[in-house]
Formats: sequence, C-alpha cells, structure tokens
Amino acid sequence: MTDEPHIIQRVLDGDAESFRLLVERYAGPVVGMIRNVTGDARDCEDLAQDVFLAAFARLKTFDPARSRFSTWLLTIARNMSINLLKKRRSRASVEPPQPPDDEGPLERVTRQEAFARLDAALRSLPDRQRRALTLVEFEGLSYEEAAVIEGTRIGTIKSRVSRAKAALGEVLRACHEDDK
Amino acid sequence: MKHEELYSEWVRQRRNICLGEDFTQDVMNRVHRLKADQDRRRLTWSRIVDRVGYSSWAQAAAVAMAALLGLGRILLTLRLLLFA
Repeated sequence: MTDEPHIIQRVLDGDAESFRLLVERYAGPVVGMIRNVTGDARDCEDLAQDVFLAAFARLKTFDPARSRFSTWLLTIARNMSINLLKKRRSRASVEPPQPPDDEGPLERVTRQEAFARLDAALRSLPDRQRRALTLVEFEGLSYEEAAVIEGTRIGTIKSRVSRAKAALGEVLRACHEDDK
Repeated sequence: MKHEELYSEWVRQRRNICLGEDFTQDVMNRVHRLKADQDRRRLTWSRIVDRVGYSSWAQAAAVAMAALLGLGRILLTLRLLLFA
C-alpha cells in the first residue's frame, strides 16, 4: 500500500489509467461492503461501479492527512449504499427484510441452512448495527476506522457490533436447538 | 459444529467476494469516458482563452467588459454607502 499516494498523484496529474490499480485493489472490499450493507447481491456491482466513478470524480477532495484512501472510499460506498436502501424503501412495492422464521416445523438444520438463517438475521438487523458488523467483521477494519466511516465514536461502534453479534448468536443457538 | 466455528465459517464465506470478470474494465471504460468529458469541457475554456489571446478585437472586448463590470461594482457600492 506504500505506493498508493503515488498512484493517486498520477491520477490527479491526468493519468486516468492508473486508477485501474485502485479499482483492482479495492473492488472486493467495496462490493462486499455494498452487498452486506444492502443485503442484496443483485445490484451491488452496478453500485460499486458508481462508487468508483464518484471516487474518481472527487479524488481532488481526498486528504491523506485526514484518512486512509480505503477509509475514504468505503465512506463513499457506505453513503451510496444508504441512499440505495432509502430509495428502495420508499418504493411501495419493495417489502422490508423479513426476520428469520423461527416458528417453522422442527427439522434437521444443516450448515447451509444455518448460514441462510444467519444471512436472514443479518438482513433483519437495524441498519446501523449491520453496517458496523460489516465494517468490522467482514471488511476487517479496526473500530477506529469503522468509527471514522460511520461518523461516530469508537464506543458506539463497539456497542453496535456487540449487539449485532448477540442477535446472530441467538440465531445460532436456535439452530443448535433445532438440531437436537 | 460449535457456534463459534459456524459463525467464523459464515464470516469467511461472507468475506469471499466473486466479482464479474469485466468489473474492472467496465469501471475503467466509464472512468475514461468521464475523463474525456472533463477534458472536453476544459478544452472549451482553453479555446476561448486562445481566441481572446489571438484576436486584438477580442482582447479589447474582454478588457472593456472587465472595466464595465468594475465600474458597475464601484457604482453599486457607492449607492449602497450613500443611500442605504
């Protein structure tokens, strides 16, 4: 990552092709972030493209003294994901994510079923908890970086992650009981 | 399988992102289009500056326009100071 400031400078100097290196480096984290925040794998690549385009257009505003490039980029991804969620929820035809159905008939829960339940539980988490969990658990960011992206305090992020994990833990316990 | 192991495996699976083959190229195509658009806009301005630079009539018109704008600002300030 040491060459990152040079890559950014080259792009700012007019070498747009150098931006490819940044896209290749951060495509996975950006798409992952969008997928986990929106809970939807359908449109995440399209939105990720928009995120990179916005980053390219606003690259002059990136200040390396204030944050790392990854933090800045993921902040753009976070904001655009939230906007997408808002748009979707404002459409009457779109139903809000449903909580996992724990009241179905008892059946043997396989690992994939447990994962499906965890996915559903992730989608049903409050947005802020889901974003905090995504940044810390899936993106592997520190609490400090997640706090910068979310624009909140470290303690708040820790608390959101902890509550999200507790909710997912409940789902796992339910799976385990079904398995007995 | 223990809860922790199951959870860790799920997190690993979530971290594993499969991108479309053309993702980077698609982004770069859009980046190049945006850059070309930005350059075209910048070129328009530079063309205007060039024309003004090469034609003595255009230079005179630009100076006259700037002088008129300056005069207008002075008159406006005086009006505000005297009659406000």
